[in-house]
Amino acid sequence: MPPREAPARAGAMRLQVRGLTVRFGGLAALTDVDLDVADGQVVGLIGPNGAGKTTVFNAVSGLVRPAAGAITVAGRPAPRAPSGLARAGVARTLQGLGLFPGLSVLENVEVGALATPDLAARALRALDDLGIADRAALPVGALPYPEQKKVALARALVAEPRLLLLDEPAGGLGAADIAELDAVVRRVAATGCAVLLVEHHVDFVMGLCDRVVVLDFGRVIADGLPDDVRRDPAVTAAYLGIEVSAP
Amino acid sequence: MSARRTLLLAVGGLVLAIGLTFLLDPYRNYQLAIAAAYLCATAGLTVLVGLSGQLSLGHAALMAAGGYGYALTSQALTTAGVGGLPRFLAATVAAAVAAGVLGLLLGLAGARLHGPYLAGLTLTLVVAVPAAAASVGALQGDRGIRTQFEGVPGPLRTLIALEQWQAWVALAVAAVAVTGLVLVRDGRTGLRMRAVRDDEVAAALAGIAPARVKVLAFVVSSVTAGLGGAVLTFVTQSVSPGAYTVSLSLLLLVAVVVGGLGSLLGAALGAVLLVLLPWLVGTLTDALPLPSQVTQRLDGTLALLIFGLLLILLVAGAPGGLAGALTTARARRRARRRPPAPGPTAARPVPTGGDDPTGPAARPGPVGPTATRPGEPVRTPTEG
Repeated sequence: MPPREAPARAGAMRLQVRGLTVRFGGLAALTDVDLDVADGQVVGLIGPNGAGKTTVFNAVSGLVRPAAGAITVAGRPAPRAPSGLARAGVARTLQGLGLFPGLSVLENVEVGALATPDLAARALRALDDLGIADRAALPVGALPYPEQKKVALARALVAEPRLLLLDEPAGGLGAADIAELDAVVRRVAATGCAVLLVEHHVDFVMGLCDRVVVLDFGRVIADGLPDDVRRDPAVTAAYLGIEVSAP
Repeated sequence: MSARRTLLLAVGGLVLAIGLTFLLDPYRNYQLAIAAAYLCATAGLTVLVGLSGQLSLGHAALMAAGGYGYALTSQALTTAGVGGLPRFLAATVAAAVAAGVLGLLLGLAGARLHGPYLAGLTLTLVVAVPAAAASVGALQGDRGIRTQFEGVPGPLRTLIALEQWQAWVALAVAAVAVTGLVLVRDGRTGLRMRAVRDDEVAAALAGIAPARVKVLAFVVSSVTAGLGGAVLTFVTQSVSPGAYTVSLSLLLLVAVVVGGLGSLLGAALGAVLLVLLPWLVGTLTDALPLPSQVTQRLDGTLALLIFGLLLILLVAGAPGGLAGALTTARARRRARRRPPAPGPTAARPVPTGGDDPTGPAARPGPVGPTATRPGEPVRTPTEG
């Protein structure tokens, strides 16, 4: 995939995480994590299973309370309850999709736009942007998995967020769907939206992201350009489970 | 459905129902009034359970709160010399407020409790409220409170009987309650409720405050239940603890499930069944050549038995309830009448027959009966 063009204007800092520490009982899920995402930037958060990627999302979303550290969105402290996120211009998708099975496709997307007028028109436009407007009236459970993922994405995009958190957006998708997703994320970032994504699909992340942050055992072990991160021996070691001595 | 269309439908429906009362004898009109009272409660309950996903076994207690609110206000106003329509309206509003406050308390607790625990709490309430009412002196114990007789207003007195007048009032209150619920269901609040019912975390991430939505659902549902209690008190001219028992609570829930959970049409069917079934069974046992001892023993219990049986049969055979079964039947009939290959391909002759990949099977057409999963209420945009 071609490298993404740098955003037209160097954006202001949208998400800033400093010294984030989260503990579950005695277990330190995250230790002293720093993370920045600027407007128009796409940042990938990768790491082996259990590294704490989704916990970063949950802390930013207000779903878990940090033991220490500061999270700011556009310079202001992140909302403490998840329901305040939307108002702060943050939208998030869930790993388990988090769709509402009793609602139609259109209604699922409308839920993301409840704070705006002309609900149905907006939701339909968001579905149309992802090419599934003709599915609007169907119950969401009737859609194949890749289209259900699009519905979840449409619900996040319909609110026109300034910060988009995508939890494994490529998980379970085929090559064609991933290429399509790549284009959508580029389009969203081009409007100035900051994107942070957690992903296992390394090629997708390396091709799409401006910066990649690697977590291992709850600590940031690398943060930089995709190519630099790919060559980082600590990253290779984390993925392959090899001990390396510090340079 | 737009709000304007809903209001027009409500007015039209009310006029139609009032017209119906001219065809009924006084006893049937009395039954219609009672059914309208139950409808206020079942409609609120179906919104609470079907839309917000919270189970209440305590709606009889909320009706009782409405009934007592109505009776006490009516009594106080009578003493103060207020009568007629102002007294009725003030007492009805008081009933809605009394039930709404009780529902708010329940809802606040309910936002922290889930499923069986919430059901348990509401069950305690329906046991406690009549017992408490029976022991409070101001509520006149087991005997309850008799309310002022509200007769037919002057100009109508020569035209209609008391029972028909009561049916009119009951239908008007039920129309207000159901219209309010339709507006909530079709509006953003209804969408919030259904989102919270399906996935609280995802709803919260979309900017919805789940606890607030759940409490609101309880308050809305309680207010309409309170209106039902007011109507029941108005029609029977009394309110007493014995009228709002656990079994009424359970019957309301059974009526909602039999009618079709989440469907207001189903709530109406359920309310009518609540009134008609005991009467039908009573008529049947009277007609059968049974010894009077047996008839006496069957009286009341047989209707409950049949209600339970109906519940089991419907849950097994038509999980969408009566309203769901109607919708499914209508959709099947429409599907049978539809030409095999609609759309642009139907215009040109296809000599090879129905082998067209763009036919109804390949395209996401109108949602048919297959789109409804078992255990899920069938909702139609046209019902009300």
